[in-house]
Amino acid sequence: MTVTGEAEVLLEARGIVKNFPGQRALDGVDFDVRKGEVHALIGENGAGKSTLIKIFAGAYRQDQGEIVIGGERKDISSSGDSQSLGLAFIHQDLNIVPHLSVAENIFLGKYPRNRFGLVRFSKMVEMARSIPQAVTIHADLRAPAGSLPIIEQWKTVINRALAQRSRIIFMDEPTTSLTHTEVDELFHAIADLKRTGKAIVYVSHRMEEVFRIADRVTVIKDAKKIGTSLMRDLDHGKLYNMMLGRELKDVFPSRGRRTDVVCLETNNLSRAGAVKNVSFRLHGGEILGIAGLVGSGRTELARLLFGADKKDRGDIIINGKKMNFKSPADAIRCGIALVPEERHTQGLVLHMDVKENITLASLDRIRRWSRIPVLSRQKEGSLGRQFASVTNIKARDLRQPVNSLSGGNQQKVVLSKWLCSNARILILDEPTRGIDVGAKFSLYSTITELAGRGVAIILISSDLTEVAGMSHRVLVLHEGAIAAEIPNDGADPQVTLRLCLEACKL
Amino acid sequence: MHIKEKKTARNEGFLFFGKYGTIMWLLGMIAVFCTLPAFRTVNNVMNLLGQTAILSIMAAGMTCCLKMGDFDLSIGAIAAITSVVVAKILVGGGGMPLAILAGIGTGVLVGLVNGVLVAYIGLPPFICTLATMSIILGMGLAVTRGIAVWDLPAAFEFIGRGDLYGIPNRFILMICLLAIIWFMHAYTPTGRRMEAIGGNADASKLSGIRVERHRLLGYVLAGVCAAIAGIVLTSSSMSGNATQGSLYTLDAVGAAFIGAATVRLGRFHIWGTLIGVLIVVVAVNGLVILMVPGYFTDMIKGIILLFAILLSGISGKFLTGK
Repeated sequence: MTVTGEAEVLLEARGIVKNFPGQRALDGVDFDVRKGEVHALIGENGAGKSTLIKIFAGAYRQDQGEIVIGGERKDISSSGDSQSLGLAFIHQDLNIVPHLSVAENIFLGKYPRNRFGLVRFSKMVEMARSIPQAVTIHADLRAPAGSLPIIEQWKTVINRALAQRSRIIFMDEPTTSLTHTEVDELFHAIADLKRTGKAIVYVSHRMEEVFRIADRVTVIKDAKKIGTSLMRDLDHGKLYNMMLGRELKDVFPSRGRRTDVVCLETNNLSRAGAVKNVSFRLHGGEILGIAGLVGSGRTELARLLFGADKKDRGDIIINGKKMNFKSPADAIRCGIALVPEERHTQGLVLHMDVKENITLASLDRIRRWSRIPVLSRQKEGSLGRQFASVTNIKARDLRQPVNSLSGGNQQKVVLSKWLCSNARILILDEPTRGIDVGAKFSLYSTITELAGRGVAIILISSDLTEVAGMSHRVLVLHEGAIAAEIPNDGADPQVTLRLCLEACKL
Repeated sequence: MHIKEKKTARNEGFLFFGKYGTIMWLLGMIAVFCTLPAFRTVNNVMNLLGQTAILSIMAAGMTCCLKMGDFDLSIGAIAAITSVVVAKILVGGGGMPLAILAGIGTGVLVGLVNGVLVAYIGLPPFICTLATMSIILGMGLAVTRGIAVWDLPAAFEFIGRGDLYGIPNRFILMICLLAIIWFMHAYTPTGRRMEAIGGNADASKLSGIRVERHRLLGYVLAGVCAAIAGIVLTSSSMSGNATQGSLYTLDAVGAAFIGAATVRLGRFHIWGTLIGVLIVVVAVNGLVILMVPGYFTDMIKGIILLFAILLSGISGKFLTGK
């Protein structure tokens, strides 16, 4: 059964705007859900998908715009409101209480009671069996839910939504923790739900799945809606272009040539459960992109190279010398720097000001006298100013605490810290996540400029357009090992992007 | 961003009170007590300065720990064992330089033990220093069999009882020590790194700071300060006693937390700690002059401490163990 334009509209959101400090998360987004459809919601990390979902769930309140459910304007100000309007949300972590039985999980908090207020377990199991249009759970309903395979836990949560008479079920990246056969089973369950007139909003970034089950797709990018389209009107190429929004060539600054000097080389670098036999060479002036799904070992590889984790096997060779890093301090001495994935928890000391954060890794450079460890406020100020202007930080003044800066400027502070320490090998882990578009392009040009000056750069990103647009070469990681190496010297980054997408099995 | 700004605008008055409230409180308290003739005598003021000294020295060391999110409950016990060590050496004829060096060495040693256990082995600071506190106290009592060591050479008196133009020597010692620690925190790379660790230990490590080493140093500083306080205490009472000093721990923590509610909210800093010490000392002194029974003072100290923690807004950090 395919949904057409005539199906009843269950939910409609119009012109949703949501601002966070220093960032617009949603900018006038329209979205509607119809009876009996699977509506895919796609976009890269930080595009605004989850913010939109959280507004429907009552976790956030929109700043502008309205939500219409069943033809009436509704106000969703709590998860209770959302539930009573027939919306259900299933997140990756499933919200299962592992030691409670399947039946108890289905009726979580809404147990049938007898006249003394005590829970009637036998009644509950009976009720669980008689949920209208329930998906079948292949397990004993009295067994603890935590002992079930993940797919049965999924069905438990779906049945919970049905027991609450939900009409729209939101699923957030449902296949992340499922095996191939389990994914098939989940898709069968979704097809059953569709037949009974439920609507499913399916959040994902895996194209292949979207093509398999979605009836319509809405693409969100940089807080804006790019468009909504019927899946049968799309092919892969058209959907990619929707996601990109523009031609790749025009977006990214042009790269310089890499040098012949090998700065960093790894041989069979391994760490149990994270990184497997990774060997590659990094040249001066080169931007090496690293792509792969979340959990493919990208961040772990970065931490190994930076000495933040210890390697089990293999070599790290810096400028021809084998190194054995015991801590980041050792790696920094070799000119390696890491701009970590989580800048709030790993990149910045939030209560300290801009100049203090910039000079944090180079305190020995701002001594008043070279032999005596006493800081010079004057040198600190001039060095801070110098590197704040290199990365184009926009702050009132350098004594502003970094927690009052926008995400983009905070990231520039982290980058400045490493430029100040004269890093020659720069590892960037998701450098543009959660950063607004303007700051993104400013970062891109800084990165390209640095490479032009001979700095070797490793660029880790989930945003494949970014990897394809910026890098000389792309390594694709899968389960900790290099799955593919894609050269990117051709004229069209679109080709590289397609290769990356295939290699990532998206 | 505009959300945050709106909030601050509304709370600006409250924020001013939050930042300078403790200082206003101290000045107000002094103003009120100055109506008491017994409070404003030269003798009492000198007495106050002297009392400030021991507590400040201890609290300054504690501040070094707290700055990095660490905690040292054993400082009172360190002061006590130092007092025993110093007195035993003096009575045994070891001479003052040796006695003082050994006293400070004791502080270094206990600090090292605490630091290794907490920073390198990863024990929780609270429980770990509670254990070392108990061990040290027990050792002191075992060595002295619970009896104070008397008959110290009269020359030793000058640290705790002597004065320079009427200003107690121990107060001068305190000012020097506080100035050194302040300088370290404000103007040396080590101090800057400690500040960074206190703000975000993970980010500090990923910025190349050797976090364990600095936390160890924090415990050593706390130990040394406690030992110096112990030496002053020994000299003031002219006796070595395994039971003196322990009561200072709680006051030192209280003073440091009042300090964290002063000017730089939520951050521990030396001059704030000094304000905290003065509040505790002046409050107790005034109450004594007002002839409020002694057992009320502990209660009042506790209330002051609670207020300070509420004002400083850092309680959550310690409850959740960072």
